[in-house]
Amino acid sequence: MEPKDPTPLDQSMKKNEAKFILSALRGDGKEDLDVAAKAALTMAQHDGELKCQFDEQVKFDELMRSRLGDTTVPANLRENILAATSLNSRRTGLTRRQTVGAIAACLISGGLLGRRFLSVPNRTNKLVARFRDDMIAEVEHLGKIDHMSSDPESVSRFLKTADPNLAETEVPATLEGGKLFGCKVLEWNGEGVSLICFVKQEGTRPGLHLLTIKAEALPGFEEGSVVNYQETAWTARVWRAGDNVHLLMEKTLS
Amino acid sequence: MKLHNSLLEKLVDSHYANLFRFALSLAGNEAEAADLTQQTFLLLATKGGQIREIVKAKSWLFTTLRREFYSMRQKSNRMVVIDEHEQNQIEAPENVELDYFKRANAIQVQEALAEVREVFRQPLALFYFEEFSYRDIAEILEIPEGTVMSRLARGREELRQILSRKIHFEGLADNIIPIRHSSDGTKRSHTS
Repeated sequence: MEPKDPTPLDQSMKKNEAKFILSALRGDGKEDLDVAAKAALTMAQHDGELKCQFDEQVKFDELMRSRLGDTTVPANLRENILAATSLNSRRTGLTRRQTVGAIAACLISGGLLGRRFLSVPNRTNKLVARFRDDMIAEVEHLGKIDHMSSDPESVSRFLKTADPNLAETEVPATLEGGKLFGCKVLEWNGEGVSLICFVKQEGTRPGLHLLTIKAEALPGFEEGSVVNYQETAWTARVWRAGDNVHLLMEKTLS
Repeated sequence: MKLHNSLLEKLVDSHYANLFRFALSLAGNEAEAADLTQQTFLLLATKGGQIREIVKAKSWLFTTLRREFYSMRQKSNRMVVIDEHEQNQIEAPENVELDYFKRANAIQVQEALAEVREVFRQPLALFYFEEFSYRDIAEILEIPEGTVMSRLARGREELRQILSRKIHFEGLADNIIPIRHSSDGTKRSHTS
């Protein structure tokens, strides 16, 4: 198709101005162009030097785009994103099938929980014991963690985004000789729980876990309260500090 | 308001790679870029329902990632002062032909882009990684369209100079270190 004759706007446009506008165009014919961009393109069709420069620019851009498109993306990035974002579906409630599954799981684990309660001293708040038991059960069946990082800032940022209520969770780089490994967001009685995992020996699974929940989820567990547990496989401590209740648990048997 | 999971997965599939590449061009290292990308999608998952039209999701993702990047930088006090007028001292061959750039591989181009000053690198990265128009770029970077045009022109020029310098000097290095070509076509330096 023959280029149309320059319009009055083309004539009033200076060459440098046209070059300036052309520098922002792709030249692939798919762009939604405004009047000035159309005028610059028309001018380039009538000006050999401008046309040559623009053609060269388009080819250079295509080459850069193609080379940059070859930049490697981490292999597990997509899976990590989907795993992290799936937290939201967990918070939107259970499907019917999931509810049936959860009730069945509760019935099966009922005996185990009962036995654990017997070993808990009477003075201990049953609610706190249930929190501890539920969290031990979660950690024992810990699948993939949501966010793997040894950087406290990165873990903190993740928790903040996943659940604004966990924004103030303190994330230490090391704890009791364990090195920060990553985190997961759990839910207990409708309240978000941050699970921060630490690994004591390189190349092993995390064996030390710090869980934090808002104190209002455990009414009656007063400031300064500390409860220690020693079970067959886990040593655990629950304590309240300010608005948060922490549970630190370490696997004693593998 | 949250985004439906299937839609979210579709958006992840469509944009995570280029979003990561854009993050890499900002942060300069893979770990931070991956964090930024993941963080951006988490925000999309929690706030995505607020996006009025789903076609706007792409712009929203890139705008959000950039804001997150600056927020991270501010927190770690690593804010870089941007000086658009400062001149980069670049010595490179002049009047380089397009064919010369065809010698560059993906790593060289990525490295060259990383050396382009941030103020020019951002619009250039958006221009190359996604099919954004200068109007979209202006919206994402929150600057006037004319500024985008100017930064694209200057950024491209800077990229050309840095890249030609890279090719030039790496070519010189190839000539200094004796290279033999193996049977599979890859280069290996002589060690014996």
